[in-house]
Amino acid sequence: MQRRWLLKSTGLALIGLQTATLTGCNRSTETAQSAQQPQSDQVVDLSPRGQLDEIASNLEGVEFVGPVCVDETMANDPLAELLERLPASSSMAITERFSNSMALDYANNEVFDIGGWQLSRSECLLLAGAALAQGLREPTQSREQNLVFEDFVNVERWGPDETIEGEIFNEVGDGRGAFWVRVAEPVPASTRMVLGETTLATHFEPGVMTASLEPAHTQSIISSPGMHQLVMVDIATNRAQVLGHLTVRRKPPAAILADGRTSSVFCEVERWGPDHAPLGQAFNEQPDGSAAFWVRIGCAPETAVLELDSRPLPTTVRSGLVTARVPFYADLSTDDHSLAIYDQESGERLQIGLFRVL
Amino acid sequence: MITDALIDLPPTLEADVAIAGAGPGGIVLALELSKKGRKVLLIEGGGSDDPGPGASIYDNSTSGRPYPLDGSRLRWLGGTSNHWGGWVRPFDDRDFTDEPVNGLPGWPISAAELTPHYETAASWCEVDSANYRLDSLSTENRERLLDLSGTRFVNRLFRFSPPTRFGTRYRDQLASSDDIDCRVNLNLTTLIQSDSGVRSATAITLDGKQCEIRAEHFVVAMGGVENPRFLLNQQAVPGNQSDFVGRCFMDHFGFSPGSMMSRASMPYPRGQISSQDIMLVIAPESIGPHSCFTLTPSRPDDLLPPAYWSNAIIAERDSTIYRIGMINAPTPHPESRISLSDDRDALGLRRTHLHWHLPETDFDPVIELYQALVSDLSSSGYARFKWTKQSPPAETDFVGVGYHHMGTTRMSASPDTGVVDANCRVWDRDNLFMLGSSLFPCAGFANPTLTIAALATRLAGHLNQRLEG
Repeated sequence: MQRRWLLKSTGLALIGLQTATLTGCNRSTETAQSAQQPQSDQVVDLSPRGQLDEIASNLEGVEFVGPVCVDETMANDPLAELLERLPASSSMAITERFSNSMALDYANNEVFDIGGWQLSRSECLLLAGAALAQGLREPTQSREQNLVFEDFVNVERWGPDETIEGEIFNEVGDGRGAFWVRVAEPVPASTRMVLGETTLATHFEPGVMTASLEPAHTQSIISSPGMHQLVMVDIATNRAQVLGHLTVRRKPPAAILADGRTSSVFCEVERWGPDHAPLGQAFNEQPDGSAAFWVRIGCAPETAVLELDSRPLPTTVRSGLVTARVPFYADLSTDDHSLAIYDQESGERLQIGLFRVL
Repeated sequence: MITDALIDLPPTLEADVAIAGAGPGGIVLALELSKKGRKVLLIEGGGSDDPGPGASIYDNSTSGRPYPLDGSRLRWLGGTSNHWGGWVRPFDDRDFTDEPVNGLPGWPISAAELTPHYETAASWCEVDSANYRLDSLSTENRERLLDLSGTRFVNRLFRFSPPTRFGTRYRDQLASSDDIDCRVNLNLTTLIQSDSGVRSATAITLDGKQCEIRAEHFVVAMGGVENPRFLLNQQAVPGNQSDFVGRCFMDHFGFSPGSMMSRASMPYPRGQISSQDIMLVIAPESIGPHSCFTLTPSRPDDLLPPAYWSNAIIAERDSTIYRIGMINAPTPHPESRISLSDDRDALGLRRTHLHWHLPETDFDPVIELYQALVSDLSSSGYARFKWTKQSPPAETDFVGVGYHHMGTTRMSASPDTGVVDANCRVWDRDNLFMLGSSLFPCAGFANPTLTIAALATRLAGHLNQRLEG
């Protein structure tokens, strides 16, 4: 075996003394060289064995597989055995010889099963050498890392961020509530949305990530008024990014109808507006120039419509909010006008208040 | 025009072509035929928007390996497309080989035969491109994939339909067409047959109304379970000259053999490529069953942490653990079959019994295929692999399925080995045709809907030719 001992002084061009050309598969010459460069002035063995010793001493991530390979290979000097297995070549870098040896091992099915991992005999000898060099005796599993909170997703918008107690938010069928997140760039597919402490089934499409809750989980969440934190976690890198909170608002009390009955479909109106406007003015003016009412109400059927003086208005019902445009606002006379909300299915009508045109 | 037969049903309905079943196949066929000016009667057993009163029609019994036969079929306008996931990919050339599988011949048509129809089918499925080659990806994105040259594997891609809910998406076209008479809540029950053809048919509603259907041609497009069930319920079972009606029931079955450590950020999962709705998989080029491997990024491994892959002599890259799932090409087994139980449904038809034969030995080539992937990619230095499940599931175990009911009225080059000929015509009936995944004599890993739509457009051309005389 040719051995060559050299004194390395920082900055000296010792690489030129190497006999091998480093052209390993999947790695650059520069990086393979740098892996063998000592960190400070010291005696360096650039013989093949010396290089293997150096690599083995610095090999990372071997706390479990290294000691197991010591037992599996049963080699007294694993690196010596590895060196004998490497294809002889004076022109090939040690990394390339190692790669070729591994390829040959897989072709010949010389493979060790290390906790399910299929590692070639050559690789296992290197790992065994690393364990011995690093004094690793007992296999140790790596521990789960703590989450590191940093922004790794460019979120454009997301929702829903609130619902009312007992009301499934953004229902996607089978009693499942779901979140959506609009993103500017692809999100790592190892990202999972986590609500509280529960990881949600997360799906990806271009520009959007969605996550749904199991039906029982949905029920548990919507029956727990309060704020539930929603976090995106990249499980491959342990990065986390807080998206926000789902607020479950306590269900307001049922409304009392004009005849004194308790409504079966409407909750109490919390607030509404506007309650007055000058004659002919588009109150709460919308982008299209029309006027509009808004009503904060704890619950209302999706099919409910606002009525002004018994005239139905084009209405939108969202969680906790009912809005309606008033196409005929310019025709309203100076007077009080009755605003109500009506549900055709139950036949219930709830008086909201009087809108005064000044 | 779409009419609820529970409300309005004349004693006789007539058309050039009568189609039973308004799933993706039936709807595409009806619309394609109407474009050619043909009068079409399209009848659907369920309602416009829900199963209506007939939900229990699909009640069934099963034996063999547990199979969730209730889990996917939907009985209303649009059929199973009302909840499909939208995965789209044509079958590959190697899927159309006529090389026998388990002693049974494959497709009697070539891939080229379906190629033009796949393009039309992509349009019906609202897929933004009919290009499934890797060159539809940018160079940058291709370079983010594993370079599988020198291995026995290739990268393949799936596209996605929105997904198209055929009943909703094409309802207006069905309703406004002068040539289509679409009747919902109407069930085809009986074929009035001669020795060589269908003279007419009887359809009934669940409240007891009945009508006679007269047509030049009849097409049964009720789905992979109902197609054979309907035929088997006839006094003289069409196409059963070799006892293949209902046999060779297949589904894509899953297997998750392990995981892989490889470089991070490879864009295999859906949603990883901007502006294209694509998912990439790894498939064998010619070896083993034509299954595929899906890669799902997962948590770091306790035994082989990410730092290992960053070692210069190993890979010197950031790594990710990818959980590997397999979508497996099924093997046709005659003993895997739809038959009839003695129970009868509300229409008086005998109910379905499924015996799913998926023996442990069917997993052997699947496991061998994963081993080949392990060997090829490990030796090339691209990845390290972990086995988490190396033995087949017991025959009483549940396995994942695609809910793709295939093979039960198989297409064949000879009446000795199938139910329909290369034109979807039942071998021993001149004017009776089958449509759907029940025709597939074998299947690779691709989902069936696109191929069903392609077969529908092809059948429309064939029927139009026949009607021209």
